Amino acid sequence: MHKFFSHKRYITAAILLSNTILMVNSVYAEDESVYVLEELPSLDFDALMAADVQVTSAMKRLQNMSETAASIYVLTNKEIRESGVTNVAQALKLVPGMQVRQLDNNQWAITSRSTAGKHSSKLLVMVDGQSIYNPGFAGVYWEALNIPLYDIERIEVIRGQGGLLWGSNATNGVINIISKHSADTLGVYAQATTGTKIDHKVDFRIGGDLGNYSSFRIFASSEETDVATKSTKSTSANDDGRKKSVGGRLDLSLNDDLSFIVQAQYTSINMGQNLRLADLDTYQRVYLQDQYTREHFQFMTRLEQTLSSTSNQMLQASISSQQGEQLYYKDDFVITDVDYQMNTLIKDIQIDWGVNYRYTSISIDETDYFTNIQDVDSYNHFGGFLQVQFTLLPDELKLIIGNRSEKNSFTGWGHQPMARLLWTPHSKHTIWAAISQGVRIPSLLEYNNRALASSSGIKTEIVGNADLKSEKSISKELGYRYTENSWGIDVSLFHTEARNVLAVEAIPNATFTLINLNFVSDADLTTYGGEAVIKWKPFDKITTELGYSITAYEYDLPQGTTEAIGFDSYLRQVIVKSQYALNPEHSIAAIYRIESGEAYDTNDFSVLDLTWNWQITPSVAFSLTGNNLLYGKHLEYNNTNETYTVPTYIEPNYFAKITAKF
Amino acid sequence: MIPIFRRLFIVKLLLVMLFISQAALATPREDAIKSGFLYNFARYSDGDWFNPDIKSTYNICSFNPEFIVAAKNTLKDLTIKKRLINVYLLTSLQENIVDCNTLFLSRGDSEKWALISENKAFINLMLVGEFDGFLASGGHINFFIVGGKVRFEIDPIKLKNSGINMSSKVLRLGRIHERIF
Repeated sequence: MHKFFSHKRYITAAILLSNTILMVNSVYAEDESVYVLEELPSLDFDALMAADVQVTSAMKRLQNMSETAASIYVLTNKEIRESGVTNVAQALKLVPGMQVRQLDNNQWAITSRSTAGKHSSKLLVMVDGQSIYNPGFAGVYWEALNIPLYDIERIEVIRGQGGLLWGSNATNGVINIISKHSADTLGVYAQATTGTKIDHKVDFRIGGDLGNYSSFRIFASSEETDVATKSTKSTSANDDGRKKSVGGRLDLSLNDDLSFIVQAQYTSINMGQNLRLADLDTYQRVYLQDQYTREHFQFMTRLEQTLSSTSNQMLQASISSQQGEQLYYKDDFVITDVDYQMNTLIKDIQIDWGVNYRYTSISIDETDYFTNIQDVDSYNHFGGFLQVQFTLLPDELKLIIGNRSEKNSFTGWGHQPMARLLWTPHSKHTIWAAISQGVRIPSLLEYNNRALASSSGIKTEIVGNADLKSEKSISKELGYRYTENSWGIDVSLFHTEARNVLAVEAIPNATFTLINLNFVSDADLTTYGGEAVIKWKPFDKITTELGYSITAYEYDLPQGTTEAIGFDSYLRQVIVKSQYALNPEHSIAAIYRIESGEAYDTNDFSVLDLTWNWQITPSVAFSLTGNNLLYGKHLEYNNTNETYTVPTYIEPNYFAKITAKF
Repeated sequence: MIPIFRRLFIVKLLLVMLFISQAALATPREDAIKSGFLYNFARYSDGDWFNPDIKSTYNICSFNPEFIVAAKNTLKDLTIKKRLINVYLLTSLQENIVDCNTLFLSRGDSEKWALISENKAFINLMLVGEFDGFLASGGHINFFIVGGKVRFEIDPIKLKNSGINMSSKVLRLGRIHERIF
């Protein structure tokens, strides 16, 4: 803590910066003549309900899609609801270019523009601006993320580097889950689901007014899922699960310009998994069944204030606790975050800036498989960002430049500068280009843990390294969007070169009775590829979308080292989505995905997800969903050298859901 | 020295949060969004308040010139029941509002509203406002801002008394006046 505050010059700089912004803001903020009326995207009721009254937004989230110089995709609440998905990880399968692979019925490896690993994704995932990243392995326990899907306003996905606005570890992308304001979730909502893999899932939410336009909601859910029928090893599948959540949100509207949000959620999971571990006597590989538990608690408060028609600010403080216990690993983290952000429009220059501080309390119990190298009981990082958007040619050319600089306890300072150019030669055409640097900070496991790996009889340990450097990647991107009334196209290309990439160096001892697999940050990695999405709405009743993406992954490894995550490979994905509203009561949603490439050491596969939605009465709805149809059992992830988890075969499954709203 | 810098930083943040607050008037964008809502309120209503057989335009009226500019831009060439929308600026209280189909009263119009609502029962006129107490004083729909977005509360009984049947889609999206949940 003291180390943080010893950096007087940075704090002074932050104070000076806020002074400058305040002075400039006080001069220009009320100058209505500089305000440019932004065209509304649509006069559709749902679009108006989703529209922000200001061009700038206090919260970290995307503005108008056509004015964003990045590869983005927004999943709306409507699409999430009607596509029949049951959790956030599955919802991300709807996003072209997202690599979403199931290890078993509970565990996931998810990223974009790279090979996804269960323990490393370089993907920053946030719920209402609060990161849910686990510092132990720099990834996300997707199975413990249990947000009610019906209360999600939208999920914003940024493919590619988003570190400047959002934070570190966003090299491959950002997932920003934005939940609904509680004023939009009034009344009672109840949902029950059952099927071939879901034994039962019950969700309940109640929301109400508190007067003066303040409101609240509380929710609870309980879920029990069944095991798969086939594992990759001789051990029978063991991936059943139980999940319980309770939470709530309070939105206090202090006046039209000042609002205060408090939200909290507690989730407890108890799930089965098959593990590949070393026998503690012989160091031979053994396959074991494990039942693991996790308890996650998140609490967030946010004060949002509209300062003027062109300026607002936000102060967010949050705390999150993540505890888990499995056969080989026991962790307990408490993460405290404080963020301040201000957005201002001065004449035609948009300025976004902010400061952030994170303190993480660490406790990793030593087990037969995991030990700590040093006594590291805390981790902190802090920093700030500034992004400025200049209009070079009115309504035609914009330049966005900025930088985020953060210091962390492991690797010191990291800088993430960025420049983006947005050219709109015609209202229907948008061309954008970007160059940016992203930073990935080593996880605690890579920095400070010694883990026993399974082998063929020789004791083998994966050894963390306190001298690891942050991975730095330079990404160049180019994009084009064309929008017509009934169709549109969105294409992005990227080329990313990363240095200080994590690799593994095998060092046997003199007697060859111990092999140390030391983490080093000496590799280079090049990834390149692109995404293309075509949307077409031939009639009001039919919406279709075709997505294509390709990612190539090439390592440059120093002699004597091997890859830590992924290997030289490519992955190609085609996704076809269609939704047909037969009449106001009945609709059908179909999603067909083809995935090919050797990135996950699996066969190519193509699966169909099909959902029929029936609005029985204005208050009661029924849906029937079939997932993973047509192809049969298939493996989605088989990079077993990266994880202790033994994958199971993903199978076709069916479920029915009934929903009541009052 | 360390606590001094820390305190200075925290105090500065609090100052930023508290002392530069200025009352924000509706922006053109906010007015445009609200005019979009007025369009949808009319679109999703049935009843005697508007008869396209005898009216050549659907008239949206307001005393607020800024709102009129935003609404004219937003609702240009749009129709209600195959009749073009006409956005009309009222310049005085004496002006006849009988020809209006929707009357929008801005935040600054609360005194005008108090005067014109005193002795009049409005029939065949959709009354939409954006200030506290509007529904209690006889209004039909009232806008408010939460989470940086426009929301509305609605009194379906008063609407019905004025010859307007609002669709259940709109009623579900709004906050029903005096509803417990």
